[in-house]
Amino acid sequence: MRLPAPRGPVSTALFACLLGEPGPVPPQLTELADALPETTADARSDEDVQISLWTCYGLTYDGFHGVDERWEWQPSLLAVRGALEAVFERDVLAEVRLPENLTPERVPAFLMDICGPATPAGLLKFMHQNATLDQFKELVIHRSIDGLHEADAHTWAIPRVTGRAKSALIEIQADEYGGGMPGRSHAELYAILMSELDLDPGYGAYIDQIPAVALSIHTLRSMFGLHHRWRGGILGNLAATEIGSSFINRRFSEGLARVGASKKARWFYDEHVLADAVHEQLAAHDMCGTFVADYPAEWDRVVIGALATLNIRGLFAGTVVEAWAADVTSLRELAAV
Amino acid sequence: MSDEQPPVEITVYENGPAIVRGAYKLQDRDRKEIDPGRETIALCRCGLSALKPFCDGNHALRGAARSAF
Repeated sequence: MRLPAPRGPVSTALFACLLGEPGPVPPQLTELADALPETTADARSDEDVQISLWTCYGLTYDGFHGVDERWEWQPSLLAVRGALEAVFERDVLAEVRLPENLTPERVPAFLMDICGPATPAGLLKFMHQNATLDQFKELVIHRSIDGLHEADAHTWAIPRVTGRAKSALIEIQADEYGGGMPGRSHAELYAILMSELDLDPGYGAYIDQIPAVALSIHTLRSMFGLHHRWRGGILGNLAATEIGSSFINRRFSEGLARVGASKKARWFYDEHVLADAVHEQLAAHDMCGTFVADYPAEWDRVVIGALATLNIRGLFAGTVVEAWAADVTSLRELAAV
Repeated sequence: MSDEQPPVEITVYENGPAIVRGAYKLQDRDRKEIDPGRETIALCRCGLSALKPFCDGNHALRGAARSAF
């Protein structure tokens, strides 16, 4: 994958730096990173912050053509990533309201309640009943950053949890990876979905068109997954992804059928209907419920992880719906070359 | 290694489906086998599933949540 196009001063300095030899980053990049708390209004929707953070995490997933792999663990670059994460975490937490009087025992029921079929900004209902094939393609492009890496951010959590919570996580993840059967992982089904819609399934093929609010769905998972202190957060993120997913995916599949998409294209969504009916129970009760019972001091992390995930999903849905209501594309326009 | 098949295990979830694991056989009233296409399955307990006998998450449509969609 190539490096994306920069979207502001931080990504401009960062990408120029990544094309060089690993070593100390230029002082200018450090200064920009240090100033992020003042220069960033909401990191969740800040194009410069999100493309920079996505690229830092990209070194840990796929890497980039022309970028030395040693950058991944370069301390000076990790400091820049840390500054990006700090401002992202600040703005994620600013939007999370922990419910009063919630106890660890009630966490599974609470997760089932908040992650139900309520549809942010009516996006699901629109996709089910009104969206055109082109609008489906836009949505599939937005979600490609996450869908083509489905499950990977949650895998980071496996060595960080124990006991029954770990068993439940493994059972979910095994399904996500198609039980080890080649071609059956959900990420591969996402690639099939893209090909069937005449889209390029190469990872990052559309990166320059994907706005910050869509990137932040993936960077949030990566941030939670890559930090031990957010292990509860990544479990909450997974629960928020699985709970209600059967309901959501069945309606996506029906919406795609309505616009004439093939059965093969809908496989990704259809696969999630029966699988996630199992996963949502495992995620809420066996994984999160057991984790908060075993680590009661971390119950709030699980809930924050789920609430932050729902907030970002809502922010994304609102942005897409607003663009379509104004009859414009929800993707970023490519700069003229 | 033992040739014994794992015992069938059915776990009932509050306000949710029954999850079935192990060497179960799923069949309709005429004893015709139903292939779920997966090992672990969730069976509907609320009657709202459109894919019965399997759970499709429609239990979320009960009560106040029904109007949300």
